[in-house]
Amino acid sequence: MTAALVAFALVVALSFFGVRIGFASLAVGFLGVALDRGFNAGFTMVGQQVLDDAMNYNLSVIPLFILMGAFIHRSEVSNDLYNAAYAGLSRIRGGLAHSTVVACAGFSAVCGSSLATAATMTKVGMPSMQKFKYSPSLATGTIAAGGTLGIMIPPSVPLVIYGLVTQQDIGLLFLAGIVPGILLVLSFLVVVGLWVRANPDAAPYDEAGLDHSSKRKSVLAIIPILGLFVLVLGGIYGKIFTPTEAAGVGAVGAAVIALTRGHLWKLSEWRDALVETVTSTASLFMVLFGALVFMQYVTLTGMPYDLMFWVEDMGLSPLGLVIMVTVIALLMGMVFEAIGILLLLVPVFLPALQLAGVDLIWFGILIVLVIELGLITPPIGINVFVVNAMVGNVPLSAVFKGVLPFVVAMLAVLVLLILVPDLAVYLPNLAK
Amino acid sequence: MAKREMRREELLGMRLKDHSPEQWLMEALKWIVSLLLFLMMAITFVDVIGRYLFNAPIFGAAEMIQFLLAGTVFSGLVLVSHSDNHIVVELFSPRIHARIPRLHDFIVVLFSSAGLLVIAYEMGRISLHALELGRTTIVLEWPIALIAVPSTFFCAIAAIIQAMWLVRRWS
Repeated sequence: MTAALVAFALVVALSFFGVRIGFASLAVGFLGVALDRGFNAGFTMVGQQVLDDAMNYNLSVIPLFILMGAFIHRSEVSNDLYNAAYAGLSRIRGGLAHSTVVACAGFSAVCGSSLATAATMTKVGMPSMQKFKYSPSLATGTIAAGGTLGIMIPPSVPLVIYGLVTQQDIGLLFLAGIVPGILLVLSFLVVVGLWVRANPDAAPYDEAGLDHSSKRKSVLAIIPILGLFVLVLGGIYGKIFTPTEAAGVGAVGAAVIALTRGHLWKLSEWRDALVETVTSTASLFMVLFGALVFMQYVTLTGMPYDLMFWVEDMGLSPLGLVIMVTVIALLMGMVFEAIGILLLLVPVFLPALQLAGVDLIWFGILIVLVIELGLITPPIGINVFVVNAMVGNVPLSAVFKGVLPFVVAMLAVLVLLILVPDLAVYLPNLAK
Repeated sequence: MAKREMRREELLGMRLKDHSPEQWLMEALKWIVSLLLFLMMAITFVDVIGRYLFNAPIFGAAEMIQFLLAGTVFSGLVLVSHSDNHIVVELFSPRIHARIPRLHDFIVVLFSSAGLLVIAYEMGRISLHALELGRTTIVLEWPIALIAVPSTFFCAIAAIIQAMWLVRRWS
C-alpha cells in the first residue's frame, strides 16, 4: 500500500510540475513495474497494454462520438437551438438566461464537448444578454455552468469511459443519465428563476420577444437535431446498434445535417473536422495508456485489495464508502480533468465498491456529476476560463461568482441522487 | 483561418518555413488521419445499413475498425506531439515555467519523448515477433505486423517531433 501511495504522490507531483499527465503516469507505472519485476516485464506490460487499448473495438466509440460533435459544431445549429428555446421562454423574466440553459443542454447533449458548448453559447447567447443589459455574472455563469450539462445527458464520452473501466453496460449507463440530466436542467432553471426574482435588475424584461416567423423557422430547424438524438439513443436502447455503431450512424447523421445547412461542402472542412477529432482522440488515448499502465502497477502492489479489506475492517457502510469516494473525487475534480478522475480514482476503489455491493451504474452517475462540478469550480474551472476568455470584458471573479449558485444547485442534485438512488437506477433496472 | 493559424504559430515562436520537411510531413499526416477516421465512420455506417437493409453486413467489420482505431491513435499522436497538445494540469506549471522556462521545458519534453520511445521500442519488439511468427487476426487473417510496424514508426516519429518542438522553442 505504501508503494502505491508513493507512486500516486509522484504522479500528482509530476502532473502539477507540468509533465503531461499521460506521460507522468506512464513513467511512474513503467518504472514501478520495472523496479518490482525487472525492466523486461516493464516493457512487455507497456507494450501489451498500449496495443490492447489502441485496438480495443469498444473504444472506437470515443472518436466516433467526438466526430459527431465536431460535425454538429460545424453545422451551426446553436443559433437555432437558442432561438427555439427562446421562442418558448421569451415571455418570462430572465427568458434569455432560461433559454441559454435549455440551449446549452440540447447542444452539449449532441455535441458532447462541454468546452465547445461553453465557447459556442458564449458567441450565441452572450450578445443578446448583453444587449438587454443582463447582469454579467448571471449571463456568464449561466453559460459556463450550462456547458457542463451535456456530460450527464447521453450520449456522453465520460460515461462511455466509465463503462469501459468498470465493465458496465454503456446503454444502461446512458439510460441512467436521463433523469439526473433533466433534474440538473430543471435545477438550473430554478436558479435562474430565483436569481431574477431576488434581483430583477439582473435580467431586464424583453418586451418584443421573437417575431412569429423566426420562432417558426427555429423550431423547424431543430427537428433534424432532435431526430438524430432520438436515432442514436433509441438505437442503443432498442439494441438495434452497439454504442460504437450508434456513434458511427450518429456521425454520418450529423454530417448530413451539416450538409443540408450548407456546411461541409468543401474537402478542407471535412479535413479540419476529422483532424480535430483525431487530435482530441489521440491526446485522450495517451492519458488512457498512461493511466492503465499506472493501474497495472497499482494492482501489482495489491493496493485496491488492501483498500477493500481496510473498508471491510472499518465497517464502513456502502453509503459511507460512496460518500467518501465522492468527496475525494470532488477534491480531485478541482484540479484534474474528467479523464484523470475516471482513470486514476475509479479503478483504485473498484474492488472495494464491488465488495460493498454498490450499484456501479448509480455510482457512475454520481462520479459524472462530480466531473461536471470540476469544470466550474476554482482553482481550475476550465469552462469558466473559456467563457471569461471569450467574453473579454467580464472579470474572472464575476464569472466564478456567476457559477456559484449553479454549483450549489449541482451539489443539491448530488445529495438528492445519493439519498434517492432510484432517480438514476430506476430506468436501467426497468430495462434490465 | 489560415492566417490566424500562422499568427498563432508565430506567437508560439514557431517560425516554420513554408515547405520544411516537417511541415510537409504534418500536411501529409493530416490527410492520412482524415482518411483513416473517415473510413472508420464509413465502415461502421455501411455495416449497420448492410445488416439491416440488405442482410449483408461487412465481413470482419469489427476487426477493420480495430486496425483503423490503432492507426488513427498512433498517427494522431504525431500530430498531438507536434503541437504539444497533450493533456496537462495547469495549476502550478505556468508559474514554474515563468521561473525556470528552459529547465521546465526540458523536463516536460524529456518525459514525453522518453515515454513515446518506450512505447516505440516495445511496439518494435511486438512487430518483429509478429513478423517472425506470421501472427494474424482471427477473422480476417490480416497480419498483426500491418498495424504494429506503422505504429512503431509513428511512436518513434512522435518522440522525435516532440524533441524537435523543444529545439524550435529554444531557437
